[in-house]
Order: sequence, then C-alpha cells, then structure tokens
Amino acid sequence: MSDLTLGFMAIGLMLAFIVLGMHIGVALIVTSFAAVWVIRSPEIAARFVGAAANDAIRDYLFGVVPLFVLMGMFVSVSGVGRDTFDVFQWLLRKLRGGLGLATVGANAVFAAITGISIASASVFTKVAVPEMMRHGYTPRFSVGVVAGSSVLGMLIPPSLLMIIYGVIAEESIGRMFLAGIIPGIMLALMFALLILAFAYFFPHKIFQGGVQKGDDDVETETLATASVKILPILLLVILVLGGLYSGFFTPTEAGAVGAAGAFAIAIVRRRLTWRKLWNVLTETGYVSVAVLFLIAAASLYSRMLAMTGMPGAITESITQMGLGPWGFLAAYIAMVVLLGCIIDSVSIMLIMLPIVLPIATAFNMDLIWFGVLTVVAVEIGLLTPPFGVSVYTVKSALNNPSITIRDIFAGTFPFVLVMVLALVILASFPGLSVWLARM
Amino acid sequence: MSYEANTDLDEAPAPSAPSSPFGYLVDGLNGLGSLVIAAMMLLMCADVLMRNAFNKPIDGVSEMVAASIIIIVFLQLPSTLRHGRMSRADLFLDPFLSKRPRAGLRLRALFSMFGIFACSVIAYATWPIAVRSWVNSEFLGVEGVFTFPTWPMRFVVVLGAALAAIQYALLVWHDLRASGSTTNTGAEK
Repeated sequence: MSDLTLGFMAIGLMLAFIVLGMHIGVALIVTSFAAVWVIRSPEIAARFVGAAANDAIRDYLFGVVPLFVLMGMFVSVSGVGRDTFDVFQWLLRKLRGGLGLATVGANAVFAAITGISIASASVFTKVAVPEMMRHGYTPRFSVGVVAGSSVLGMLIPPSLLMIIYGVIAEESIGRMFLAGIIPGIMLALMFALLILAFAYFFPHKIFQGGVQKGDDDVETETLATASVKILPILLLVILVLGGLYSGFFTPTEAGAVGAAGAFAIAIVRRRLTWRKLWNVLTETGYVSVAVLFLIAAASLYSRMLAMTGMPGAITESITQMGLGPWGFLAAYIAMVVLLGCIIDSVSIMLIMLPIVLPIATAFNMDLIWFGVLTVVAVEIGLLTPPFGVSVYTVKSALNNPSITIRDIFAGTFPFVLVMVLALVILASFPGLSVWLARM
Repeated sequence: MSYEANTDLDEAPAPSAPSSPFGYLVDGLNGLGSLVIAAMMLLMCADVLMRNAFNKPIDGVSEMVAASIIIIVFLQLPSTLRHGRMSRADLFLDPFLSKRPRAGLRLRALFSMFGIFACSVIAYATWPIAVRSWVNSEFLGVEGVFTFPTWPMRFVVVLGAALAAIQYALLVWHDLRASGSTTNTGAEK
C-alpha cells in the first residue's frame, strides 16, 4: 500500500470519526499518529506528537488567540453593543426598515472590536430582536438580520478566522486584517440594500401586516447623548487598529492593549463584578484552549499529510483533469460550505488548508485573496441548514420557544444568498481583497 | 461546536460537571491558567508602554508569551474537557444519544477511549523532553540578559496531558455506568 493511499485512508477515517462525534482534536491526533506509525515507525509517530504538543503552538504569534477572545468577552459584557445599536437606531430613524439597517450598521462597527461572530450574534440577539419585534417586524426577519449580519464580525478586523488563516498560510496577520476591510464594508452595504429593497418593495415580507409601526415612544436621543454613547467604541477601534497600523505594536500586542481597553470601558461603565470578571476569564480560557489544542493537533495532521505527499498528488491530478484554477476554486468552496454544516469554522480551516494551500500556490493564486474567499465561504456554511452554528447561537440567546430553528434558517436565507453573490464578486475582482493589503 | 456556545456571562455558569476532589484540582488549574492569560495581557501592555513612552522595552516578553501559550493550554485542557467544551460535531451523536441512549453512551465512551490514548501519547512523548530539560538545565532567552528555565513549561505539558487522560477515563466510566442503567429506548438518561 502506497503512502498516498494511506493518507487518503487516514483522512477518510478522520472525517468519519468527526462526523460521528469524536472530539475533533482527538480525531486529528489519533488518525495522524496511526498513519505516521504505518509509514515510518511508532517511535517517530510519538516524537511527532511530542513536537506538535510542545513546539507547534509555542509561538509569540499565538498570543493573539486568547487576547482577542478576551477582548471580545470584555466588550460583550461592557454593554457597548447596546449603545452602538441605540446610536444607529437614532441615526436611521427616518428610513423605512431603519431598525434592520441599524442592526447591520451596529454589527459592522461592533465587528471592529470583536473577533468572534458568535459574540456579535448573542449580543445583538438580546439587543436588536426585541426592539425590532416591538416595532412590528416579523420574528423571522428580525432573527435573520441578526444571524446574517453577525458574519461581518469575521470579515472586519480583528477577526479570529483571519488570524488563524494568517498563521497557517504564513501571511502577515496585519495584512489579512486589512484584506477583510473592503469586503466587510461591501457585504454590510449589500445587506443594507437587501433590507431597503424588502422595506420598500415587499413590506409584507418583513413587517407584520405589511406596515412598520411608528415610533410612539418619546424621542430622547440627541446628538450629544449619541456622541457620548459611540465614543468608547470609537476610542477602542482607534486604539487597536490605529496602534497596529501606525507600528506602535504588533498584532499580539494589539490584542493585549484592546483587551485592557475593553476592560477599562467595562470598569468605567460599572458593568463588571468579580463574578463576571471571573466568568469572562474562564470562558476565554475554554474558547482559546479548544482553538489552540486544535491548532496543535492540526500541525501533526499537516506533517502527516506532507509525509504522504498528498497535496502534491492532488495538485497533479487536478491539473491532469483539466479542472483549472476556477474549477478548483468552485470545488473547494463547495467543500467548505458543506463542511460548515458539520463542524465549526476553525476546524474547517485547519482541516482544509493544509491540503488546498499548496494547490492554490501551484495555481499562482494570491493567498490573501484566497483567505478572504475562504472566510466568506466558511461563514456561509455556518448559516446554512441543517447545522449552522451562528443560527444555534441566536436560538440559545433568544430564549423564546415560539421562534424555531426553522424560522431562523428561513429568515437568514436571503442573507445567505447575498453572501453567495458577494463571494462571486470577491472571486471575480481580487482587487477588492488585495488592494489594501498589498498597498 | 460547543466551544463557541456560552456567551451569557452575566450569571454564574450552570454546573456542567459533578463536583469531586479531582474536579476541584482540575478547575483549580483552570483558574491558574486564566490568571496566566490576565498576566500575559498586563505584561504586554506594560511592554508596549515602556517601549513607546520610555524607549525601554522589557526583555524577554515575546519568549515569555510563547511559553505562556503552552502553559495556558495544558493547564486548562483537563477542565475544558470536564466541562464538555472541546469542539466536536454534534449532528450525529446528539440525536443518536436521545434516540438510542445505551448505544449512544457506549459510542461516546469509545470516543473518549481514543481521547485517553491521544493524551497519553502526548504525556509519554513529552516526558523525555521534560527530563532532558531538567537534567541539562535548558533555558530560553539570551544569556546574560534574561533567561528562564524550560522545565516548568515541559512538566506542565506532561501534567496537563496526564490529567486530561484521567479526565477522559472518568468520562468513559461515567458513560459506561450510565449506559448500564438505561434501556435502549426512550428519552436520554
């Protein structure tokens, strides 16, 4: 049996284990260990495992993972999400469908200070959905807007997925962050257009009885109060992204400074108790450990793959099949969206990228552009049935049994279509992703 | 997917595992790991401040951060496991567990056995590295400027991996015991 066959068997077995519900990190370690054992020897396999656990994640760069997660957690408890939403609601109050637009806008700004779309989804489910339903929006549309626009968190920097892509593809994280800005803003604008189109042409689709309920509560927001509300979040954005791009600090330090800044905001706003502080710290631990353990396990897996020579063989057979770069890209994106129905975003990237990056390089693709496409495709997967993680987060944060998972998927569907359109645009015009990053 | 789920930070977390002396040890180490994350944040902020404001960077920050990552992961791995926060796909296992509880629990126990194996291999493979760094007094950093020994980091890996293996063994035991007392029909547990 050739090493190549063995490699394919290892991947098949690994995917089977994962689908059946084995811990993903364990599945990666066990199958890779077995494959290296057969190809070389048990001693070498054990040594590989030791190296993966001890050296693969012992890197200054990986500090970004816990630090940006910590920052996202502090931001979530500090209540600035609600403030941002209030300000956008006030700004857009004259437009039809204004609340939907406000949700998208607030998500886009909020995305600039958190790196995890789940944080946005849970914050805005609690803030925006009740408000929208109070104003006569259908429950379906309300949750759809929140779940759909939460994906902006992964495109607009800082973004956990961009960090992980940068690490695996050996692209600078600062550049990956820059690459997400234009696509993120573009997607936000496309979402806004979709909502406006619904509000003006098909109002019965998004409003109960086809009309938006007027704002009968007394207008209390003024320019002054709105500025006070938006100030902390703007300061934080300027601190993190400004410091990063002016060269005052590295991405890892940006995470540390951002976390400290978010902590300060939470303290000043008196949102932090000892209990909450402790919850934030332990929760950060759980999330980062799960991610970092996966990264370590995936380093073993990618060494195993390299050993079998699989990436080279796949590249060769794709060229022989005459699939070409576009065919390869389409197949890859379909695969990613499909995997998004089964596993979480980080695992998808860790499993797919070691196989496809050499192929993308062989086709002379720009790896930054490729990364942006990957992130959008992964996020589409997280919103498509039967198992969209973002959808489940919205469901659990909602705590309202009358809105079913089915409603949320149905409400999200128009946004998924817009994302597919965005993906096609981004694929056709690499400049949108690359221009800022390669400047 | 479970690792991204809990974002309700206002309340005390619901108890997700029964308490036991081993549980206290594991959660204690987890707390220690959380403190390391906080310390890492403060250290880096101090470094940024010292470097940009006073032009006096703190020596060895990047090495210390790198080592902290390993320490955080292996201090918190057993607890992450104990609270069911390791990422896994639930599309097959969860419905299966409620439809066929006995078979489901046994399948999960089988998967946990693979977990015992994976963590044991990590502990086994790291042991010689740890012993070597202790015997040879290996260190990180630049001699004369700042140095710190590598053995604490290595032994944390061994300890964390071993405890994670034990935690997996406990999961196996719990699942097998539960599967013995359930029939194969009806609702979970």
